[in-house]
Formats: sequence, C-alpha cells, structure tokens
Amino acid sequence: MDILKVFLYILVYPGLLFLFVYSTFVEWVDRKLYAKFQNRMGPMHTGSHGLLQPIADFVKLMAKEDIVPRACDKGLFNAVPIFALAAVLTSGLLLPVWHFTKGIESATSFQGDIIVMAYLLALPTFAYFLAGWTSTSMYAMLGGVRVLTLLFAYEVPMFLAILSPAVMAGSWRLADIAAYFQAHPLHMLFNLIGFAVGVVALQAKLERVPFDIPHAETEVVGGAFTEYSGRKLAMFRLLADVQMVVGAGFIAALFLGGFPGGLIPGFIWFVIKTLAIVFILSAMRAVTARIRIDQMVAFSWQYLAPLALLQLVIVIFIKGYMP
Amino acid sequence: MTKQEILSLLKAKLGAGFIAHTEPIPDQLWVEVKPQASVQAVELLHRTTKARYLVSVGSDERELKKRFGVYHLFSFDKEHFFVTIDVSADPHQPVLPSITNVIAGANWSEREIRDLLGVQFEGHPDPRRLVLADDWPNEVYPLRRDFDYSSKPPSNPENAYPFKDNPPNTTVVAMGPYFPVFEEATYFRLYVEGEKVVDVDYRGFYAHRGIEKLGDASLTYNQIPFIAERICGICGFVHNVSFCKLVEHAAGIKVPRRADYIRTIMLELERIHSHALWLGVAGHIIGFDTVLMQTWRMREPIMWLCEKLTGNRKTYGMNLIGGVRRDITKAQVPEVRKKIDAMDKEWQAVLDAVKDDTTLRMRLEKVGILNREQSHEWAAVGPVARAADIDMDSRKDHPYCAYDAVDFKVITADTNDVWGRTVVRILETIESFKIVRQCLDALMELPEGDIITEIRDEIPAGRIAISAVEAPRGEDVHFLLTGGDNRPYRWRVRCPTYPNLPTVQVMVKGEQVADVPIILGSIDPCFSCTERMEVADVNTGKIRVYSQEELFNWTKRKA
Repeated sequence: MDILKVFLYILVYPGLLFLFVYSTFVEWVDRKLYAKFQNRMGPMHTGSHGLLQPIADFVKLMAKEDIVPRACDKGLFNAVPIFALAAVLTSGLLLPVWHFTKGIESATSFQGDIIVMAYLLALPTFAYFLAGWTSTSMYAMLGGVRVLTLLFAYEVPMFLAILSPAVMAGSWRLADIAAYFQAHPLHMLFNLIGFAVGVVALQAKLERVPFDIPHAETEVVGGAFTEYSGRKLAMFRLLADVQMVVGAGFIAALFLGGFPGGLIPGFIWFVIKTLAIVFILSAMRAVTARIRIDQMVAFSWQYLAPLALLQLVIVIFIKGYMP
Repeated sequence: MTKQEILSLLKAKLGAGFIAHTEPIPDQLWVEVKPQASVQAVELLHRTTKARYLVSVGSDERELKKRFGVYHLFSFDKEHFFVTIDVSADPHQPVLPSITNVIAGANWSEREIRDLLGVQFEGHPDPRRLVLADDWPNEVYPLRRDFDYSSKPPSNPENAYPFKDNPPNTTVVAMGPYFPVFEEATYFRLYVEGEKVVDVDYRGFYAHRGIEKLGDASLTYNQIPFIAERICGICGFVHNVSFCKLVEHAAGIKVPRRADYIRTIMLELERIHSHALWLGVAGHIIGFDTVLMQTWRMREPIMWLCEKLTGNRKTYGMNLIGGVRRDITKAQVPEVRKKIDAMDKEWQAVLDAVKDDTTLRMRLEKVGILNREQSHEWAAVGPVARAADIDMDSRKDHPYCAYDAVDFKVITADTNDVWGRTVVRILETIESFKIVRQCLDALMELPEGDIITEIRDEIPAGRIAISAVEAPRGEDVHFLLTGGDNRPYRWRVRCPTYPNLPTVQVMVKGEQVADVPIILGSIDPCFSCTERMEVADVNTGKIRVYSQEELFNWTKRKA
C-alpha cells in the first residue's frame, strides 16, 4: 500500500502528471492576467477561453525541428534541459501537499527538506548558465553570464528570507513549518517582509520582468536559450512553468501556512494560495520595465538582503520574548 | 544675424575665395566660393555664426555648367532662412577638401556624394563606403547622369567592408544586420568589455532603393509626391509635403489656404500616431510591454480616423503639387474632434503614469547622453536635439502650411538623455492635439472645396528650393534643382534619421550593452509596417483578401 502511495506521489500528485497539467494551467492564468492588465484578451482559441493554449504550444514546440549547433558540446547541450527539468520536478515532490506522512519522516518529507528544496530550485539556474556556455554563441554566452550574475543578486536574499519562518517554527521541515503557521495563523503577519522579499526573489529566479535580464530579447536575442529549438526549448519552457508552480508552492508552504486538511481541502488550498502568488507575480510583470543587471545587483544588496536580515532579526526577537 | 551681416563676414574673411552670391528665393542666401575657401566658409558659419548644418548635396552638373556642384546647406533657425555654400568640382578630376573635420555631421553626406557621384573629399577621416553595396564595382557612380537608372553593373565580390579592428581586450557583439529590436536591417558592431561598450562600428544602407535617381531620371512631378510618400512607412506624408512644398516654392505656386490646413491636420495626426507608436516600441525595448499594448490601443482610433479621412491608414496619397486631393468636409470635423479629444484624455493618463514610473526612470535617465555641443557638432535634429535643450522646430523656424497661423509651444528638455527625449515626445503629442483643434476651427470658417490650385504653366528649369518639414522624428530636409522634361534635375532627400543615426555612435560609448537598444530606439529610427493580410490557398492558388470587417469580427470571435 505504501509503495502505491509513493508511486501516486511521484507520478500523479504532486508528481509528474499534476505538475505538468497544473503548470500549463498556471501559465494560462498568468497569460490571461497579463493580458487583462494590458487591455487584451490573451489566448482565446484553443479550448474554452484558450485554456489549452499552453499545452498546444508545448506540443507544437515538441514537434518542431531540433537544431544542435555544430560547435557546441553535444552531450552537455542535450543533457542540460533534461537535467534541469528533472531537478525542478523532483523539488515538486517535496511540497507538503499530502499529509499521509506528516507524523513520520519519509523520503519526501524530512528534517532539512527546506534546504534540499532551495537547492533543487537553484539547480536550473546553473543549467541555464551551462546551456549558454555550451551553446558557443555570443548572445547565449552573454545570457549565461547574466544568469550567474543574477543568481548572486537574488539567491542570498531568498535564502535569508526562507530562514525566518524556519527559525520561527523551530524546524527545518516544510510540513512542520506549515503546521506551525496553521496552529498560529496570526504569526504569519510577523513574516510579511520576508514574504515580500521571497516573492520578489522568486520573480528574479523565474527570470520574469523586471528581472528577465538573462534572456531579454531586445538585448541578447534569446539569452542562454538562443541556440535551443524544438523539444529542448519546449523542455526549458515547461521547466519555467513548473518552477513557477513549485516556487509559488514553496513560498505558500513557508509563509502562508501550507495546505492543511488532507487531500481534497489541501488541494484546494494549494490552488488558491499558489494562484494568489501567481497573481502578484503577473501584476509585477505588467507594471514594470526591465532593469539593468547592475541595477538589479545594487537593488538586491541595497534593499532585498538588508530587508531579509531585518526580518530575521525581528523573528529572533519575537522568538526570544514570546512564550 | 541678418543675411547682409553674413555676407559681409564671409566676404571679409574669405577674400579672393568668395565668388558671388544670389538670393534665388526670399528665404535663401546662395554663396558661391572657391574650393580652397570652402572649409573656411563652412567653419565660419558653423562655429562663428552657430548656423545649423543640414546636409551636403552633390549634383552632377557636367551638362549644365561643366562641373560637379557640391552644396553645403545651413539653417539660421531663429532668423528663418537658409544659407548654401556652393562649391564646384572639376568635371574630370572631382576632388574637394573635406569639411568633416570641421563638422562631424558632414561625415555621411560626403561619403554619400563620393559613393554616388565620385567626388573625392581629401582629408576625410573615415573614407569607407556608406551607401553602395559591398559588391558594387569600384568607380561606377550610379547618381551620375550618364548612368542609366535601370542598368545593372556586374558584381564585384572581391570588395569587402573593412570593419574597425577590435580594441584590445574586447569581444564583438553583433547587433544586426537582423536583430529583434530593429525592424529594418542595420548593423551595429559593438566592441564590448564585459557588459561595457568600448567602441562601436556601423554599417547600414542595406535597403537603399535609389528613389532620388528615379526622381531625376524616370518619374515626373506628378508622380514623385507618391513615391516620396513611400520613403517612410510611418512619416511618409512628411516627405510628400516636403516635395510638394519644394516645387511650389521653386515655381511660385500659391496653395489654397484650406489645403494648407488639411495638410497641417494630416501632418499632426501623423505625429500623434507616430509618437504613440514610438512610446510603445520604447516600452517594448526595455521589457515594459504594458506600455506597448496600451499606447498602440490608443493609437488605433487615430489610424481608423486617417483611413476615414484619406482612404488609407498610412501612405495617404493626399498631396499633389498645388494642394490636396481630398477635402475634410465640415460634416467630418465633429468626428475628428471627438477622436482627438478621446485620445487627448487617454494621453494625459499616459503622461501621468510614465512621469512617476520608477523602473522607467531607472532605465531611461542618464542614459544615452548627447549634450548641446555634441548635438550641434553632429547636426542632430528633432526630439534628440530638443532634449539637449536646443530650441529648434521647423514648424516655428521655417513655417510652412498653416503653422504660421496656429499657436503651439516647442517642447524642450535639458536632461540630454533618453528620458528627456521620451518626455519631449509625450508633451509634443499634447501640442499636436491643440494644433489639430485649431485647424479644425479654421476649416469650419473656410469655404469647402477650394483645395487645389490648377497648374497651367510648365515648372521652369534651373530653379532651386529647400524645404524643411518637421517630421515626428525630426526635421526632414528636401533640396530641389528643377530640370527639363517635367522632372527635377536633382532632388535630394535628407530624412531625420540621417543626421541622428551617427549620433548613436557617440551616445553608446561607455554605456552598458543593455542600454544600446533603447539608446538607438530613442532617436526613433524609421521603420515601416504592413497591416492588411492576404491569404493564399496553397492548393487552389486562390487569393483572398480579408476585409476590415472580417478581421475585426475575427478578433471578437470566441473559440
């Protein structure tokens, strides 16, 4: 029975199938919201109100010709998208959505899974860099270097931000942190700064406007993905969507009290909370211009990192003075 | 400074180098000088009197006067007239001293004259090809009158364009010839160190169409307005008006006042939709697509209005020499007014939103600096010059059409950067709304139908005219020397991007790679667009054109 559950976990929910379907849905929500902000309609033709458009795009891109540059390292070039997608899909398994193993630690929920999750979510960034590096095109190279520069800008504030709920709950396990905030909902208010920093850093991690610097088409064509086409590019596109879902779920589990109530209510909570975060991400995308890489680094270290530190200090004080 | 003062200054300083002077039409002073005195003459005008350099025009006058004529055109903006320095080159060995070392902005003009007419400029700092294709054979000069406009010289594949050498420790980042931000082919070769641009090289003119050659070899006065309109896909009407003004000026044709007002309205509508388009594109370049979507949505009713007034969204085909072809009737005026008012209201919202936007300011402020002196040196025009605090606008400086009768402000900014250019364009659009309203008032007063002067006499040969029309991108200068056969002898078009594009090389040095697209975008380089679609059925070969109605319904259709 447990084996079956594990398979369900990996393949259906929250594993491969769910992540694929839900991430295309989230892409659709994102596109629709973005369109609404711009007085447009967004996708309309595939499925009801264009609901199936992201899947259609994915399938079409999968079927396109796949070109590998002659000068690049073929093994690495082919492996990078698979590797990155696998890392993000694995991180999805760590989301505390099924509480059937809440009491006991298991392969998908253990002390320190928050660190593993942050690590797995950081892996695609390195994959992007490798993709840019191995493409041997100057735009890809520039994009790859920008990916790394951006990483140094947002990763530290992100880690500092996720530290504070963990300190507050006194645990390194996502399920415990979520359970803590479910028990003390008002304590979420102490973490608002950290939540804001986390969302902004997530936007940067997802490389969306105003932080889409590494693949700004008007500056470096396609950035690290310039030479990618066909199914490998489709994998990168899917990866970005899955990363958005997992990232939003991660933030929701840390700052918004997770997804309580077992399978069905938990699922509903998951959808509500991730969509709320996606709404913020879309709005941010609609009302900002892309900033420059040097401005991004300055912004991170002048505002994001100090704010995250401030949040940590606040949490430590609260822990010290509150029973 | 009056014309008399300029003349006496030139006479005193040039001495024997001064040959003669004439005033072919009231707003012009034509000064003939010897080749060896030309550099000094140009220097006096450019540095001492601070005249604004426009362009140099080369002309093959071997059959007329046994010479190649080179005219350096200057404008005295505040005094409302043009001064031309006329230099002759030997018909067999055409060599002249280069003025590029005095005026940086003359660089392209001289290279173009060299490419097309074969007049050599001694001492030119950058004597590479400009206009001709790389494989064009050497010593074949297409704008000479003995070169047939339809002939095709054999290709010479050995010629290759010599790009600048890499400065030490730099890599090349190619922006172009095809690049996502550039709607037209142009090549900026950036030499970068990390993200910093150390140097830049330029190669363009990939789409040179030889329109000037057609103008003096194949077309007639009646046809040229229409091809002139096709020089640009966005500000075509400007070229059309420019050319018509030229001929009307040269032949002394008086245009009915109503036609003047109609031309003014169309010019301003063009400015409105061009600036809206520019703001959208600028937003897109810096990743702010919401600006693109919103401004283009606002722009659309203006395009529909243009179609209603002229029959076309763009390339109106409204002008003929002597007037316009269609009236804007009194019955149409209220609708135009309504559309303008609606856009005005929305545009105020845009102004408020852009003014306080943090990320926009982060990207646009202190980027792409071109100061007052550099602007004068490179002869920049339009919003680029106005953002460098130069109060120049041909609508005020050389009034044409009905601009002498309408009230508007010339918008300037003193920030010298991309932000300044953005603000200038947004505020300018608001002035345009005002101008259109005033013209509409005037249309209600004037009698309907009086829109074109019939031309009975032939346009006389040997007349000269210069016209400056303020396009959305800056001042558009046309030069005309009339000829026989009902066509110009020489017609030179200097579009506003021509002086502005070289300034990009100054603006991007030392900036980040990320800023290059928006700096280039800030001069609003011209591009054209086609809006209607034609659908061909591959199986039957049948072609079907979707009507406006069908396309509109398509956008509304739900899946």
